Amino acid sequence: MLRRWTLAQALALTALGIVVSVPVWATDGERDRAQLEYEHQRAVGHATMPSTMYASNPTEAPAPHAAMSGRHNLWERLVGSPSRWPLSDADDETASEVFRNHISPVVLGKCIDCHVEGGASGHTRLVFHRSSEADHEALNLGVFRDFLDQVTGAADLILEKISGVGHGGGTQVPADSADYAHFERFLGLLEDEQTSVLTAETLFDTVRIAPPRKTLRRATLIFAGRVPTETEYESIAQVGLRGAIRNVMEGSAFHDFLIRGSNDRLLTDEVSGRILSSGRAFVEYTNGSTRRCEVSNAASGDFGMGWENRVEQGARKAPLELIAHVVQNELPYTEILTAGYIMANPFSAEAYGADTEFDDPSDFHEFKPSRFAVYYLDAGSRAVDQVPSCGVYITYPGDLPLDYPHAGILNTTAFLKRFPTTPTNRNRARARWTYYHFLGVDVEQLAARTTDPDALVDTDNPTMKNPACTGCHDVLDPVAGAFQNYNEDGHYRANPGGRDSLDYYYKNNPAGAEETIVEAQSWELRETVTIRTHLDHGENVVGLAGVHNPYRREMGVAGLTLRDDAGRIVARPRLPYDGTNLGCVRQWGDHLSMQTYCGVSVGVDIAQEGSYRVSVDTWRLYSEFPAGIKMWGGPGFYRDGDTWYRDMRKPGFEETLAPSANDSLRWLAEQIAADARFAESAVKFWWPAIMGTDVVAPPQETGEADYEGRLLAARAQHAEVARLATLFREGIGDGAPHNLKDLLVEIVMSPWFRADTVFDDDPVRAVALRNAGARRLLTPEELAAKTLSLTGTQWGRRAPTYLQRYNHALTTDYAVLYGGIGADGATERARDLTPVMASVSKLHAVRMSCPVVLRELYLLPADERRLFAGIDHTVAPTDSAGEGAIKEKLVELFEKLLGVDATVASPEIVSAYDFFVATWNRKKSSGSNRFLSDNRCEWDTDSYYLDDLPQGVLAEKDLSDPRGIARTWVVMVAALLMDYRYIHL
Amino acid sequence: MNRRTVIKGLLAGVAAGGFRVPLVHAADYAGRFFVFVQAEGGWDPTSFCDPKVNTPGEPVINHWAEEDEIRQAGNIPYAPFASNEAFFEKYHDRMLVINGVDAQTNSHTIGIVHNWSGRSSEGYPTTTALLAAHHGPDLPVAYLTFGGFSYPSGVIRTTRLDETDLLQALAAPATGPEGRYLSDADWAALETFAAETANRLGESRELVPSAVRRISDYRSAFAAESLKAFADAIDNASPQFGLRRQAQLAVLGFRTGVCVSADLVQGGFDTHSNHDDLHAGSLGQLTDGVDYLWDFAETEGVADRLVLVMGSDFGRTNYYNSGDGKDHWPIGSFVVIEKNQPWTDRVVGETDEMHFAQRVDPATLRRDSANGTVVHPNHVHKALRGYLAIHGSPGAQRFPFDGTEDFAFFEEPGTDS
Repeated sequence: MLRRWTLAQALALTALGIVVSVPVWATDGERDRAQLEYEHQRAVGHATMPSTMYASNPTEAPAPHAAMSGRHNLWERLVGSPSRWPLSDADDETASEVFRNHISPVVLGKCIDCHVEGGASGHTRLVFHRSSEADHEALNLGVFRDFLDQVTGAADLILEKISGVGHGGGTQVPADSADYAHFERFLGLLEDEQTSVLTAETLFDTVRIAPPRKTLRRATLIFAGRVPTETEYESIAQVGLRGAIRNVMEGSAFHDFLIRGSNDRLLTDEVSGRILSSGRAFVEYTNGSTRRCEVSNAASGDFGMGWENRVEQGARKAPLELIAHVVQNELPYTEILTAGYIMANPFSAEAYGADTEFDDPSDFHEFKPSRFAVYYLDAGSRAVDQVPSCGVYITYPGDLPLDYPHAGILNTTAFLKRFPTTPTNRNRARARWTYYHFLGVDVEQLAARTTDPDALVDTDNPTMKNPACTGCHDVLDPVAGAFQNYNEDGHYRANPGGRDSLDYYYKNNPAGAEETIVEAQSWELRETVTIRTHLDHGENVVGLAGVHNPYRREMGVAGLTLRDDAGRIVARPRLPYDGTNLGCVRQWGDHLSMQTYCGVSVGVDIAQEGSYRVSVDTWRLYSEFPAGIKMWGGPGFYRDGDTWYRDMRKPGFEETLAPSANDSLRWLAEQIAADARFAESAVKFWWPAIMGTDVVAPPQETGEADYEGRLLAARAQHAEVARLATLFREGIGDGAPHNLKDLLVEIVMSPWFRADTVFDDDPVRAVALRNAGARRLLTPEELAAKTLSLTGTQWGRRAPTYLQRYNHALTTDYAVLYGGIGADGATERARDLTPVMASVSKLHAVRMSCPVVLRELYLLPADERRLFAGIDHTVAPTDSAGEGAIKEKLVELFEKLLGVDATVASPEIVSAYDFFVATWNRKKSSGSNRFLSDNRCEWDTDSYYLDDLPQGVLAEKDLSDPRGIARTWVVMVAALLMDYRYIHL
Repeated sequence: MNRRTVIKGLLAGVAAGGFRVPLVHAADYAGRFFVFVQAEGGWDPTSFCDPKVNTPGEPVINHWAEEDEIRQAGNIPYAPFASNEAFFEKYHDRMLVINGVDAQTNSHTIGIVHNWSGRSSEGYPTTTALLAAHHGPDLPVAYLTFGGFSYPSGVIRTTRLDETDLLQALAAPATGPEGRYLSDADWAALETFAAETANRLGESRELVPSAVRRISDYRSAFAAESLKAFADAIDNASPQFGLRRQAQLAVLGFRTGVCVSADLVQGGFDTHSNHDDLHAGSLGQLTDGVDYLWDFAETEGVADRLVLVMGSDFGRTNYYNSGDGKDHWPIGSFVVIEKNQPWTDRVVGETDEMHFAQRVDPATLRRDSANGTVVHPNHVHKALRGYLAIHGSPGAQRFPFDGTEDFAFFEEPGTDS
């Protein structure tokens, strides 16, 4: 007897180095790879079946983890793919194999005489199926499985019975016969299978995978927002399921999927406030806005704010459109980070000064690769004309143009605004989310946190020195440094002179600075301000800044001097005036002035560590205004030319330092793209868009509810993510590395998506499979697209705006109520159907059913009907062929709307027909002959409802419904639109 | 015993989180209502309910303490900051302050999870969720949320409301302001047909667990009671904004019997720079919202059944940084407010003058540096579960606080624990 291991026991044994024997199948990576390659070769029509492969179903080559699923082959569905069967090694034989070869003949030859329904032993727990029944082998194997499942000592009992012990039928299989040995072996194997350890590898052993047709329908709803055409279904036979899925990844609906899936993660669409700010780096944006303001008139929406809004939308969508561009054009997915361009619509391209060509320059939803072509740093020499009530027009942008170092998503203004930096955050949020989205690492979970607040009472640079902090900051801060050039608005080196983007406090008001009130009201009365400070051996910094200066008045400074404790002059550092009046120190008559809120830091080399005095002569330039000065000195302060904080780790990526400050972010992007974790992060990034859940995280403590099952799910999903990541990194089938379309196909092919039914009842497995099969609620966007594709109309459809390309009730008014994101801070989709959400789906069904029936039965030409071809509103149940015609139509509607494969005799078609008849009985006695007379029909909430119909059709058509049939169909369609299967994937 | 039968039952219970179709009318609920107010970003108890003045030789902990002193309302000290005075003076007699709660983290993510679920790692439901699951599993919006941390962990589903103008339409899908879309008879038949279909689907053998759960969700959601009374109440109330609006919707949900618990959220507390100005604004909005909640609950007749809990991610440092802000500090506080209770007008839990949590005796709640225990969020949540009588509920039993000491926060002072 095989010992029954619990998962925990198995894990414990594994941890101790003890190998637990576990039946495993389809885990050989090479084999998976060969199968995938074969599938892709089939797709392009030049495949040769590998000799080691076994594909019984011509529509689907065996894929990793995929049990075969011929729709009418119960045997395969029950015992799994033939690829699991051993080809020659008798030691690997399975219970199913022994049953088919040796046991089934005995059952059908002997046992069935009595152990059959109606037979002498038909009352026992072993009742077999005759050979005349389809799938009798599988069913009879199931009888043995159930018997072993339900009866203690079942195997021994069977062996006793067949050998005549206590058996009413006497000896059927003598104990010394070959058949008895077969029974012994069969029952042992069966028992072993049913008590085997559950692992990530065996988790799906008792799961039936959805058939190709069903899988294609679900995938097409996700990727194309519609159900497949018959041609697409038929294409499975030619190009395989993978090929068929890949072929629906086209067009605007796939683009929408990519935008939606990306935004669900990055949330760049949800940035509050404006993305771009005028008046600084984007010269053409400033000038374009002012120019349009000048010439604007009330008649045009394309001027002034209208133009700015379109620019804004172009900037806002840039990260998402880059992902869509890369995926749709099948570029290496790494380009989402390494792209040397930004995606722009015609309006944002103009604001960037780019000369990008567009198919339609007025289409604010058209995006093309562009560049920040006219981007200027703040040289202090810009010349502007003031335009009353409109702002400024930049006549001379200065002489610091920037060849912007585009780094894909990372330095789009939208991404940088989504995760703004602050003087204390210092790009760490940007670093955290970069790790999370593009390396799959949640830095906040990396290290155990302090349980002792004493550890946080530490003002001595804790992120560098305190073990309670360094666990995360060792990882986080170098990447934060790689973002060094971007300020809180996402502008490159935004400080005066284009020197850096360091915050004011760090540069001009550091901790430890000493503040002095300046009394001297002229150069003649200048006073010398001195501070004492400790300087280390080597490089140090002395600095000063004007403070308490209202109206931003400059103050005079001169004679910066450093003395040792004995009063000897050690250095007289030159204040950093470069003769151009671009920096903090400028020419003021015969002397220098220091800009307010603009500190000066100068490096000094110190030969001997010790106490020093720093002094400077200073005076008010505007005698009537009070003034103060701050001074500081030491090794850890900002010094002129720095672009990053000296009290943080240097910019880099883990162990490697960024080679150049100028384009450290682009360098970082390349490092991430080359990192093995990037592929895994891509799987995790896209998994929720398909599955509707994040990749499962393991439970934290052994005492948690469902610990074993949740741990198993986490391990299995981790293994699946790793497997998919490897494929993605290396190229899937004959595809190129990092092709996201291929990855999306593989995620859909995963048993986590395709799990259809499960035929065992292991409680640990049940928990582990809690999210398997991706039975999720359609998102508001998916539900709206599905209804449009099936019916040609949409609830509350309005013209696109610059904000929303698709503008209808489910993605505007009801978006958040139906679990969507995007308003009122809702950043996470609600996936569990609540009563409020159920009410939205009811409302959708009720409001749509009448317009759908109106179009189909009255307005559309017969050959253009999508749902009601071949039947009209005169066919009643009581007509001679009425019942048959209505049931046939119901079968068709169930297939189209619900994906249900039924016949006129199926119980639910019969039930639906009964519902139809009951409804009709109410309608026919309503007394009205008109379709639109009884109730409201809200077709006009769809602004495009009449667009594909002949002119004036609504007024001209006879909308009579003398028998109440059309109105009955309205109720029937409403029932289908609110069916569980309509609103779920 | 047939294992399959057992497991199907288990699945129905576990995966569906114990949902069932309504058995009772919402209006029958006569118990308490629960509001958890989340101060998002990490509030500063030293400027609120655990006031600290500056200590000579130590960094400045509070600028307000340079010119003012700690005030006291009843038995509760508070900081003379923002709108605290009016708030504490009005509510001290129905208030329990639990200070010195160590969230053991300076990470927002972990602090939020820890303070609202009682456990530092994700996976446990909020106490709000457990209360909703226990008291109102069938209610249409049993657990109302507005965007804070409201993880239900499968015991209940959360409902988020934004466009309340649309609730009327949702309350009666077959009718609209301009007429009917379907007759009453048609609508009733439709609902019956949908329910029967879902029931039939749910009876299928061998469904994957996710399908079992989704079908169960569908059945209970479609069968839930009408939102009509709630929608009417909202229509008749003059709209509020911000935290007041959240409070208003929660109270109306309670009064109309569609809701038993709600998480409210007020942001703006992550004041890494310019702490005093920014924190005063956020704290003022917080106390204003809570004050409105109680006043409105009084007006609507549910104040006597209301329990309110306030808290945050953690606290803020006992010194200002270079930007005059305060960074993250693991020590925080909870404030529990309820009318007519013997445990109110009290402060329990302790911190020292620099806002370090002190060990306290769980029974006496007095400082016990030698043998006491530092209060953690799980202690607070365990005590709440006990006080609110849900510790034995199926949800609470699935997510237990095993090995967690019992603190007598809600014992009447002077009684034996």
